[in-house]
Amino acid sequence: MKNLVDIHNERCIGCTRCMRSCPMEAIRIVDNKAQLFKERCIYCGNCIIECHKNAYKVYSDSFANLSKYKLNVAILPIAIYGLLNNKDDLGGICATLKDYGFDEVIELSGIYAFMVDRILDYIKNDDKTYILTHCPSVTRLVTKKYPQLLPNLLPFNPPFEIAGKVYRRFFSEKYQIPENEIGISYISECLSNFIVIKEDIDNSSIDQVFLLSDLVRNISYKKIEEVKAVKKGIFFAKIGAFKYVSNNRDILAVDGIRNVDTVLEHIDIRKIKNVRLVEAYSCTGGCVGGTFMRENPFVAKWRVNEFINELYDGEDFGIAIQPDDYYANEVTSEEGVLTLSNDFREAIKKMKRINEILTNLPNIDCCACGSPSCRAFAEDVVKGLKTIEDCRMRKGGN
Amino acid sequence: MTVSFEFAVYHEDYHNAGVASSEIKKYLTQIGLDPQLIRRIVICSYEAEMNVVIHSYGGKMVLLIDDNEIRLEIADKGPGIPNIELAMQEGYSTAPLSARERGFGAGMGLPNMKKNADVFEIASSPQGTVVKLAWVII
Repeated sequence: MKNLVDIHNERCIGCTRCMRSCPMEAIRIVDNKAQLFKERCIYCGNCIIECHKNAYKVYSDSFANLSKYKLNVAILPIAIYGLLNNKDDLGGICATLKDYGFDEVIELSGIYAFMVDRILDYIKNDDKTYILTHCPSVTRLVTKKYPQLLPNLLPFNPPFEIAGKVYRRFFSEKYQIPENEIGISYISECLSNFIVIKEDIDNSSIDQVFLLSDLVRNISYKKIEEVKAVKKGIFFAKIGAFKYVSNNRDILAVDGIRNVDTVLEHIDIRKIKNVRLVEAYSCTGGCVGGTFMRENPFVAKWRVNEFINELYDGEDFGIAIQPDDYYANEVTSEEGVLTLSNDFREAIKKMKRINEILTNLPNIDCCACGSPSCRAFAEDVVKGLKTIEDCRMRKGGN
Repeated sequence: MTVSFEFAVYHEDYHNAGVASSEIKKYLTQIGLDPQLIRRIVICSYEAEMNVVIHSYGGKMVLLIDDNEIRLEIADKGPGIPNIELAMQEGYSTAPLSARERGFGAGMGLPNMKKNADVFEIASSPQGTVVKLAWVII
């Protein structure tokens, strides 16, 4: 399969920014160019946000593919509310999308609102600390780094997956078109949503993914139609929504992938107790901080608040959602991506070698060698990715 | 083949409390230990680290990994535990207000360590306390 994310070698200057921002140490600089190690990546998008040379290329779909389907449905991400000045703007965005060739444009607040009660019901069953699965990066982090917390993940699909299933059925009935002739496109606000859909496109309810940043550039803010939105769901564009709408004290909200990592660690060693649900988002501010938002997350949060004030309570969603739509397939552990070797004794040997190499390194984590820390560099030497001469600050070196 | 790691822990350094345990977790994950065993070890190292931060004049933690077992040795520079039997009781705490204000000092540290380690040894004098923990790798 073609890579979904690539690096423009002519743009990359090997500055180490992306590498240092990566929470999984999945990036190295080799021959002055960034290189991604896919098996470690959790698609948080920090690298893309940090890159000041625009060297990351994301391969989204082509609008030409829309002609393959009889009816095209565009799903707007919940973070879209962080870009709107008022309710008319939403109509403007719909108009723009229809110019691109979409027949129907829907947004996600109804799905988010629907899931609130499902989730609150589910976590009543026992006293585990559950982890919200709205953000695929968080799910990835659990499968790769905290496999022992897999039972703590809620068994629910992310909202865009649910929307894909629900609206495919809805529009198929409405227009009397077979389900497979409807093309569902998701306009993604972040890298993780984009990649989870594309990677498993055969099992996803979404057929194509476009990037929000590519679309909003050409928005005409002309009002054409009313778009139905459910107030309770719009809160989910930003962090802390769950706590707010459910008025529940034992929900912990955390944003930013490194903070999420710390919180998961605390849950793992049971340092955090009495928390029933962890509302975790990889991006700063929640979905409004997405990789392809092109708006400061705090400004976007403010816009969401402004937008919510314009809406009335209790707007009804009115489309049936079945348990099959929201229950997810079991997530499998990816234990082992962080280990030095499959063989325990071999791993200990390597660890010893790493420690020996480290004693000769400056331990200032300057990153000039192209590894994110001195320790990571020592690991890379043991793995054979680098040689000790690559360290420019080495004691006794040149 | 034995690998060892040493971590310094300072008195009342709440800001960095838990950092050593995070690192321990990282290294144990890298050698491919069972996640459930890692959890037990890290629970102990965290409790031990906090104990040193709260109660002692500072000390160090040593992690030793070999083919058959994981050992964790925590040694501080005093002032020692006057009554170990009492300290081993759940809920018994001598933590100062400064620790309790931060949500620590519930009196579960030593009992938790004993519960989660395969081998638990403790010795204390006014010159310092030494806790030795070990886990067998099956």
